[in-house]
Amino acid sequence: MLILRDRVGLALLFIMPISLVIIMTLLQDSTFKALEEENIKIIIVDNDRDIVGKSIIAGLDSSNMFTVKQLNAIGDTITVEQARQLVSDGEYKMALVIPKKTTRTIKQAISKEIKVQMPSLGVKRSKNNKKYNSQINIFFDPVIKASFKKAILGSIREIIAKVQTQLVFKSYTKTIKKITGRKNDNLFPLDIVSVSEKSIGTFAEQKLPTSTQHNVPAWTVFAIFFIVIPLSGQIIFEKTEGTLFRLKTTPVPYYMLMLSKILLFTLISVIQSILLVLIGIYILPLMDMPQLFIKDIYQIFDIIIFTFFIGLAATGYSVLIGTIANNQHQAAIFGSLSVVILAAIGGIWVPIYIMNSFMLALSNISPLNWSINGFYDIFLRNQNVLSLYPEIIKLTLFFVVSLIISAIYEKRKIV
Amino acid sequence: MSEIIKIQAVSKVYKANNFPSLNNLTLNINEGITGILGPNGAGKTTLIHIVTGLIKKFDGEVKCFDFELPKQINKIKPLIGIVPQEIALYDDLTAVENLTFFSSLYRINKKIILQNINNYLTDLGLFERRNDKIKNFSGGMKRRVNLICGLLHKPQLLLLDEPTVGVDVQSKKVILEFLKKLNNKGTNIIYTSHLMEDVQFLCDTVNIIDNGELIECGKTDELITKYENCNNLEDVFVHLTGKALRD
Repeated sequence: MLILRDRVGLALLFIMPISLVIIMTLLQDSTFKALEEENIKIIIVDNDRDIVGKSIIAGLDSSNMFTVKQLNAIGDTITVEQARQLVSDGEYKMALVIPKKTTRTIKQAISKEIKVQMPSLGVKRSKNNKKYNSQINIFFDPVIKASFKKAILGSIREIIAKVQTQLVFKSYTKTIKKITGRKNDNLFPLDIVSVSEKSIGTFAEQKLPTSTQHNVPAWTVFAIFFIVIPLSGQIIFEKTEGTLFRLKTTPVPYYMLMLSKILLFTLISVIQSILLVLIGIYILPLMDMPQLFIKDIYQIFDIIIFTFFIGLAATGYSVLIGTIANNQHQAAIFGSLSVVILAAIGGIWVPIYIMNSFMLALSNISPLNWSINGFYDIFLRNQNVLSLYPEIIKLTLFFVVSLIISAIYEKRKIV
Repeated sequence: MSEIIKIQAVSKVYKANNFPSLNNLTLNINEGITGILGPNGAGKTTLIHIVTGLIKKFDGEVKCFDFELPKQINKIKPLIGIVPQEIALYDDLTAVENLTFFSSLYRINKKIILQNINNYLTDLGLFERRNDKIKNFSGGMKRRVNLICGLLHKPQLLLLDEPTVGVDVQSKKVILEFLKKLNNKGTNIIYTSHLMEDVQFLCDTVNIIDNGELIECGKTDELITKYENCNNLEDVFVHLTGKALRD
């Protein structure tokens, strides 16, 4: 009854997480789409106008990540400095300048090498000592992230390496055919080894995990721990306004009253979780966002059971804050700040796999980390609740230890 | 008159303090309306906390309705009702919701509870406002609901801590007359207050404690006549506790 009347508390428990899930999923999804939907404008100055230039343009074009503006090949003229200026002005995020005769330089270098390697096979030995070199320049807008730069550079290097290999094989094939008289073109078959990307778990046979699949569990955990605000607030209100005195003088033992509060708020956390899952399944797709994927009805039970333990840890922490804090301001400020910090080190804001070793070790002490790990096991790795026993044990211990500290603190205060 | 509370050589020293809050206090409280008076820090609240079982560690012996404290507190709890100085109610709940919640902790039949709630709300002039939230009540109305909260399980002893602080004259009059009627129907009352005229009006006997010790006790009328130049209970109180500030 009391929680139903607490509009601010209800807003914190339900409206805040719903907003967070929708906004964060929308943000991440649009970022993801931006990469996928040709929104990054790049300019390519192709002074080569041969195989290397064409291959790089074709490769970047086919990645679907860029809007490629190609110059020179269609008769425009632009200098390296002008390309650099276009990026500097923010008109393009990246400029790629392929120098003149790049393909020809590669071919000449290969030809020289063949003549060096195969004099005994009747190929005339080269007396040419010239060193062949060609440099492709890339200019980046400073706002481009380092990881993104790395990915682009990797792609371009891969394209160039492929073109070089093709040219090498072509030249060797031509030479060998000349020597042996064979007419088979495919002496050196390429692409023997290919790479196929597959995610383990729920999405193994479906598709890659979406922003919804990451955001719904993450913000559900965050929302559950925000129970600290209404619950600790209620405990402090009872302490300061005299209701605690009244409650303690009734025949019902105080631990029973506290237990009923804990069960009620744990139930609320389960409701929060179900609500956010339903939003992921039914509401987010209406907003053009990916749908939350749930394998089957049993997975809902796994989510409910695991949420119960997250709820226990969150309510235990709330009782601890409510016991130690002297007033509602203290509890609200310390409670919310500590949850944000525990969320940050626990991998809610930033994935823990990109953290350094110190932060990674620190994340192990956050109950939000245990919670999100368990949820990812259910939502992404398709595991059932029984396999989450390490997380369940940690969350339960956290709950018990919080209550024990609260009880000791309370007892000491009375004496 | 039979004894309802027997306090024998009780001392209590809080860990944070060097001085005793109760110092070898011996006091018997009989049936009727008993006032407990004392300046700030005299030990009144400590005494109430011991009787209600909130403080479990103390020296000496306390018995309430022949049950020993704190051992038999569970037998005592249903027999006593508490009206704390603070408005111990939930602001966001209505008067009826508050009263229903607190009385439900005494495991009494819901039908009887609702009947008691309606009767007391009528007696104290709050029936019309029963479904309003407490936060919309005046100070006097909150005090009256606070009082009813301690009564719904029909306790044999009602402990009142400053129940008329901050209320208007009309509310105070209603509360005091209601308490008199309640006592006439058999409920014993322990009343602590700084308002001497209230105590003089209401209490049959008065105990005055200071520095954790009992410094005077007796029938209210007899105490007033006992000391020279004392015309009322306030004069007696100042005479016994002095005029020095007790902050």
